[in-house]
Amino acid sequence: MKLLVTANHTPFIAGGANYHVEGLVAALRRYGHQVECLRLPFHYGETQIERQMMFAEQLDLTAPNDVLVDRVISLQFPTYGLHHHAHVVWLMHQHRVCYELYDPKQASPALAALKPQVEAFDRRHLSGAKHLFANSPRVAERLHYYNGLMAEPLYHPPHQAEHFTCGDDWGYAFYPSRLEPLKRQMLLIEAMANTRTPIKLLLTGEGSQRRQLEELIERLGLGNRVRLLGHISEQEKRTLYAHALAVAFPPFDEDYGYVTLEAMLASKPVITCTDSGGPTAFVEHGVTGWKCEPCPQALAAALDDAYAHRAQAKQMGKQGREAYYAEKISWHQVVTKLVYSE
Amino acid sequence: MTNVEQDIDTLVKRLKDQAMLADTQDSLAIESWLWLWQQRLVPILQTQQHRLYDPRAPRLAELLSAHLDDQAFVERAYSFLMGRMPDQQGARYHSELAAREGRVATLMILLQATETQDYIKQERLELPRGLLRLNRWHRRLTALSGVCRRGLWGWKVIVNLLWRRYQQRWKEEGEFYDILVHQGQRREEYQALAITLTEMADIQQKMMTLGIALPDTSRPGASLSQAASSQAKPPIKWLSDEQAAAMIKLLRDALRGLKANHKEAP
Repeated sequence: MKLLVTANHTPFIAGGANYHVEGLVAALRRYGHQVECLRLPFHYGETQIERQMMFAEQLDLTAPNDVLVDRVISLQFPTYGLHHHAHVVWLMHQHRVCYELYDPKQASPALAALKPQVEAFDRRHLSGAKHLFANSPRVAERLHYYNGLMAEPLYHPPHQAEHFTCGDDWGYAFYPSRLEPLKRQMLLIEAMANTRTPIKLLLTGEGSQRRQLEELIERLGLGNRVRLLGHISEQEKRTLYAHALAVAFPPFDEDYGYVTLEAMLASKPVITCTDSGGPTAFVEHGVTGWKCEPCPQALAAALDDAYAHRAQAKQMGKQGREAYYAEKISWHQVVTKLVYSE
Repeated sequence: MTNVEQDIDTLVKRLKDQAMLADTQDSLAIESWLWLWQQRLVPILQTQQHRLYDPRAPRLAELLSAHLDDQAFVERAYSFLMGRMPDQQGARYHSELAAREGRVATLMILLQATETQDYIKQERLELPRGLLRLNRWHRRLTALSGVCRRGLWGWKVIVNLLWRRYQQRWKEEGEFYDILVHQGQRREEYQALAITLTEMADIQQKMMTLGIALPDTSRPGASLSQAASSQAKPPIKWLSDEQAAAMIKLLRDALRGLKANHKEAP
């Protein structure tokens, strides 16, 4: 089949979304389809967003240049606004600043004006999709809550899922993610100042928060227990997972959260927060990890618990891996649903 | 100093060293491969969905497919190789030939017909890779047989034995694919399987390059067929005994299930 995958393009900003898009294209090709990926440039800013919505709505991809496209699979806002008779949406997330991240007290007039337009755009195009999938239960939940639309959660495996292994724990918690406010590394560092055990914390990734985090580590006197490792290779990441005592993942309202799945694949328990969104669907408190209140004291207690009860933490990690298998997460399932759902 | 008590700089250095070591070992991480194959094979073998047959691009297994009777086999082969249905005489002759000599031999005869060769040129037909490989071996063995007829009787016996062995292999491989085809595999599932098999062959090749003991055959299709047979030797000796046993069990169970379904199918 001739399939067109549509997504956004934000030059030199790479994250989980990038892997999601590339992973899907690769999987579809592996399964024998002719696949092209159409990535539209995405810019933040209310005026830009309005223009991008209009542009997407003008695109008809039924037969570009007389080449018939069998199905279009859209992953991101606003690309799901384009036209095709067999248009399937596998939603990563909506334009979040107009939904769960919208704060009426702090919103600029331009954002307040944009919000109803985005909501109408989403209702119009998401309800018109042939099939509507979400990449996690959290995204489906938001869609139902804000737009009254039902979407089927459809999971996909993390990048190179088969390469994750488990080694001896070397007494540290690990958190790989972009250093951004929504990822809440700050909260975790503050939690480290509240721990009573000598557990260490290794953070990887780059982002806008780096300087603030470095300052916080210094201010709290945690230089000998907390380290920002910056960008690391995939192999280094897997090694850090393999030897971690636990994986800490306390973001705010994450969509899906590869970190949780990668931790489970590496047989490591996950410490997350009750408001962390996606990860909470996979972590079972006391079985595969800890779900804490989003405050430094609660996170510190979980970190100490993991350190003080190593055997229990190890067992939780094993249970996490079993839970991953039980979910039957695979590209095979994704391709079958996206391509063959009638 | 235990791992846990080490200072953070030592810890980070150890992790970096460990990652570098793992990087060099990664290409031979058999456990990872085994896991990956299982992840791919299980859903493929469990599927019940229907695969569409593409008459312009059939696979060798589809041409030899056991779920067709001999007449349907001849019709499919004619249709692909000559672009027409067989006449009554041709259909009868080739059906009898298939019953007597086997489908591989029949396919080779049809492939060598002038009409087929003309049609291939005219339509720029792309033959399935399996068929080309089959044809190559057929020509080699036939050429050897020709030499043998001129007096080298010992060689003739050896060639005949070789020929019989390869026929048997093709038959086994064909049987495995037939089951998949009859179960109605979709193209993409079938291709995922092919990718898996290719990877298995690649790993075997790597092992061979490194001088690690290999099984007597490195053809993954044959290995899979053998895995299904109770008398077969473990085809993946290059894994630990435990891993090999797990892999064989997985494949054997899956094949048993498929065969059972195959019998139940109307």
